[in-house]
Amino acid sequence: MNKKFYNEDSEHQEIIKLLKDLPKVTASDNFEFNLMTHINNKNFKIKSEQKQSNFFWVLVPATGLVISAVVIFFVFFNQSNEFNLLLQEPAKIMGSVNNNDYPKNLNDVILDQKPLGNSYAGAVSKKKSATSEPKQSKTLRIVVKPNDVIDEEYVNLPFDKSKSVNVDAAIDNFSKNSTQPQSTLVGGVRKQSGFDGFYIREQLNRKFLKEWRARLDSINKNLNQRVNSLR
Amino acid sequence: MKNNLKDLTDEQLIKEFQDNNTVDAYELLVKRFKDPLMNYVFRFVGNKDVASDIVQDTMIKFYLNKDSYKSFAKFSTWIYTIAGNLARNELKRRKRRVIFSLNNHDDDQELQVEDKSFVAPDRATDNSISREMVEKALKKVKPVYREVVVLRDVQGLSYEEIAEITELSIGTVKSRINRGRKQLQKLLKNIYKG
Repeated sequence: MNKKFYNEDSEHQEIIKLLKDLPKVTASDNFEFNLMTHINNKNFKIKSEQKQSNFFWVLVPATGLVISAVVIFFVFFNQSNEFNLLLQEPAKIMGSVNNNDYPKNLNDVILDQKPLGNSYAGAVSKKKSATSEPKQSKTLRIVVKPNDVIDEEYVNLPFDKSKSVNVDAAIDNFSKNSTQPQSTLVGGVRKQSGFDGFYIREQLNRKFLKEWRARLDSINKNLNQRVNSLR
Repeated sequence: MKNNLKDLTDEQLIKEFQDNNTVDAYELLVKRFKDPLMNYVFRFVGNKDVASDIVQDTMIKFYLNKDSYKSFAKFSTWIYTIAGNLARNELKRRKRRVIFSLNNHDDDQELQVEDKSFVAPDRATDNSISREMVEKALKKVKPVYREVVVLRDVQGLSYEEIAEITELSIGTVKSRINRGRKQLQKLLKNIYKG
């Protein structure tokens, strides 16, 4: 009935013998002296418990966790600002997608396609030649639409191309040949630019207008009365 | 007086120390238990300096808390319990340090004892080498098993005493001793053919 669950000592006789044969470790000779010195000096600091109260081991992973959390927060915060289309106005997004961006017939654009090389650049240049280029000095601007369609548009800038000059070349020319006539820089004196600069639009002061209108009316009324009296 | 004290048992000495605050009785108990405790703690934690500190702390705790000893228990069990608790705390602290340390230089990880190429068979018969291997293998045994194996096979305590010291049931103690011995046997398979 007394079932033996563990074979206890008989099974591991050799292990027990090996362990018993291990040399006995003894305390140092001054162990008692040190101990009594501690006690007489009432120095009851327990070294092993003092070491336990050191919480540095808690701070190390905690600091690492906080730093990584801050880094992750900033990374995701910046990304969400850059790519969140919902933050953009929907009208702008829809308005930017125009049917005119897509050519209805490729033949309208690509008149003479070359077999190799500048396929799209060729198309763009042909389109440019096919469409009537304005004779006025306009600046051509390549625009990349939100739907990745590349389009070009002419913009009226207040600079006259005929008067434009390469500034570096002009300075270089001036330093070499001072006798030659100087080029005119952009916005020179020959022709005044239509650009008046920026001006601030003031809001109407209705009260002020009413006041002046009333004054003008009274003056007109007075004048009419005088004219009538003179007649 | 001192001669009279020498004839007293451990329990009588602690009673003398409790009742009359006789430092000689305390010193005598320290003299009796410093070496067994040192041997036990050293085999448990595996470091002589740490073991010395723990035994010193044990004796200080004994001095400060002499009144917490109750006469129905054996003095040896009580003092072993104090030393065992301090040693266990030290091992836990060391384990935490190893987890958070970038460079793990723990002595326990140094040697693969079961590697047969480590010691040539002719040299393995040498007593000093086999003893060294046993010491290293013992360090590799799990602390929960090592503690009870040391108390049983190195210190020669009874199962009842070990159960009291470790605050475990006798069944658990026996099971742990058995597992500890098996681990040790596995680790020492190149010199021990069991």
